[in-house]
Amino acid sequence: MPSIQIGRFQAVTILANLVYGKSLGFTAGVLARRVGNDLWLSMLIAFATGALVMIATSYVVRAFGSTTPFEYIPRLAGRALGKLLLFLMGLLFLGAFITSGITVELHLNDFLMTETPLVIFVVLYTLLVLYGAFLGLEVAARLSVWGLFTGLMLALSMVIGTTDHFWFDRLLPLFDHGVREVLLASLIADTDVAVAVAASLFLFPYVHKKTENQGKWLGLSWLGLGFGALQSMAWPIFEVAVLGPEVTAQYLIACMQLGRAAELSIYVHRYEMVMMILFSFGVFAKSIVLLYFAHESIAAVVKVERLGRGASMTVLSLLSLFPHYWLVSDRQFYSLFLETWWPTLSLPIAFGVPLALAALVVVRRLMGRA
Amino acid sequence: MSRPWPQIGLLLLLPLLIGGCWDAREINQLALVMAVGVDQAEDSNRFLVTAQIARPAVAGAGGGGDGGGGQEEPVFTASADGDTLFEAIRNLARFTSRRIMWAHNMVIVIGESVAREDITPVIDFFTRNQELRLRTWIVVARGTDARSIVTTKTGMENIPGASIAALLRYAELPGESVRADVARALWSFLASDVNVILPAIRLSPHLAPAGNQEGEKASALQAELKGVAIFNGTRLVGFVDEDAARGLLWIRGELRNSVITLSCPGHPARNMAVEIRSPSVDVTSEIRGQRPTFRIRVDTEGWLNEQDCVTEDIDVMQLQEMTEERFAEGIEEDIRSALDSVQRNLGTDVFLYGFRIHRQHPQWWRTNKDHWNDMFPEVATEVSVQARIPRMGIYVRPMNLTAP
Repeated sequence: MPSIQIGRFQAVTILANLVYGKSLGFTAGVLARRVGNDLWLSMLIAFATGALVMIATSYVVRAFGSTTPFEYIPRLAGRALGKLLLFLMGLLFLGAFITSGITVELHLNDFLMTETPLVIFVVLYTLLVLYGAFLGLEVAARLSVWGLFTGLMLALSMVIGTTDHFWFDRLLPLFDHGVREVLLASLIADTDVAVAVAASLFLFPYVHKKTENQGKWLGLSWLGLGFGALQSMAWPIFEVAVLGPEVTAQYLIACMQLGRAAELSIYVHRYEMVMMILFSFGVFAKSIVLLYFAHESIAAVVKVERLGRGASMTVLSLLSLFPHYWLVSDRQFYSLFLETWWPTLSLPIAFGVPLALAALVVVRRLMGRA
Repeated sequence: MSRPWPQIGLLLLLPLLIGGCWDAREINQLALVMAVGVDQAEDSNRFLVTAQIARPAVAGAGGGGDGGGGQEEPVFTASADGDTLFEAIRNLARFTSRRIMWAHNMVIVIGESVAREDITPVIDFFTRNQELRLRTWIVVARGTDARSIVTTKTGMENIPGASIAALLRYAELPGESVRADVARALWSFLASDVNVILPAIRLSPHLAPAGNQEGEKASALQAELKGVAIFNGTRLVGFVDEDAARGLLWIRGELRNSVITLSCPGHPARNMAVEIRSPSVDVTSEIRGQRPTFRIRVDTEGWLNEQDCVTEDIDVMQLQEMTEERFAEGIEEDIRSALDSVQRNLGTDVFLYGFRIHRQHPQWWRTNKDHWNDMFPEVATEVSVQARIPRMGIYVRPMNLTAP
């Protein structure tokens, strides 16, 4: 049982922030290019899918209680397969950490600090997140509470600032690109939700009063997903209804264009710096949690105790700089990566591993009974 | 004792952030563009870009008048040309002493020649640029070039660009033009079921000639919103005016306010002014034998704000009834006028008919969208108007001559 203890509501906010960030603009842009005005439906379906898979994760959590996944996965799946699964989960969290970092970096580089070399953002963001992860999950949890609050404030200010231009008809007709296409596109949005689903498995052992919360974990996970949807879903809906799906599809970071189009009366008609600050807390907390879990998962496979946690985390962060910079340096390729490679690579792990674990628990129980 | 190295390392990194070296831009080194005009250079395919740049020290001191700014103009206006808009704008840097910044630009004026040729370069450049916001107003210069609009000192504001922006912000009051910002223009440009419309602006003599009054420096010509520029695809195909422009707004469901002139009961040569209030429009479509028909239902109030005749022998209820009838007829005439001007003469769907039928009959749209442009001029429209006059200013009876 880990010594770190976080509160129940803090865990909920961590889950909420894990689905936040990339989904507002990057994913929305990709979805708009695939299914036009149905992008918000795809995102809604993704949240519903995530909520369903969370039934499997909470089932696993109930089966193992306070034991960490680093202990029970090798026990459940066998030593070799268990290590492979943990390593894959580590890579998933590392990949999600990189994409969350890119979200902040490209917002800054494309709109606010256009002349600053990207490598500066990549290195500084990684160092800041490394420092956060080094401080531990409690710090990330406290930051998550604040991040959820600022994320909701950001969504609220955007809604108020763009309501005048909201045109409901642009959201119609529903399923204009066909139900199948909308469902397939929801897989892209699933990449944001699925990471939170997978992380819920790893997060539970850090929550205090485990015996009391074990049975409530599904409800708490859903609450986290619900808060995530609350601060995220307004964006795709307003991107379609305010900008139009065609405009949303045109941009890599569609949410920033929507945010910059918001006007809080003619007196506060631009506040993108404030928006960026409100946005960054949640994403920063998310990055810390993801780097932390990536390190813990990989460290459980690659025995690095002698190095010490700080050193091994630093090594992992430094190694992540290479794929991080490689992805961010070509925006067209990054967009393609989000649309094709990332769902293909991440979804089988993020949804597949929890579902496989739940299936193994069921099999073990059946065999035990037999 | 805990190890201090991470903290020391971070402290050593902090100075890297303090300089902000790459993006450091001092305000006194920036040329803040307030309005920009895009024309086609004479006798060539090159673009001519005219930028109206604020001189904050003068503008803030009430420049242009006899305030603290002395006789200095609050704006500096300059033009440069280039094969592309980007090149033309970079060429401005040859003689402007500061770096051009678009973040505060209020208005983009497209010259009629560029609009008739192709607006793609303008839409592309100003939406691709991260400095410019999608809420920037966009207009088409009518009967003149964009440069003339941008260089004319117009309106009551120190910065002419701000005056034009204010015209657009309050365009709904006359209700004879549209409000269009870059976001809306880009959406209309990209969407397959919508065509672009933009407000038209022209120069018109609205003030006494300069020098008539002491300190009066405004030119006789003022920028005036006049009608709507109609596009087919990427090109300007014509303008609609006054009644037809208002009719267009009715059909699109975008009319918020306007004044309609009606003839007085019993005095056809005299007028009444009715202000349109709380208008509501419902546009539905129906497929009859594979051909769509549209039904426009208008439900609106009007306030009788002026009566230029004496109406003998009718009481207030009769006047109300007569005015409501004329009011409804006037609205229908506006709509018919728009249908004639746009559908019959210009043949481009700026009524949002395609947009609506796409939503109301998606199956039909899927099979017919490729032929929509050919079908549009023949599409039938039925109009019904419900108009009420619940207020006559603060009068409660008609303008009658009564014995003392």
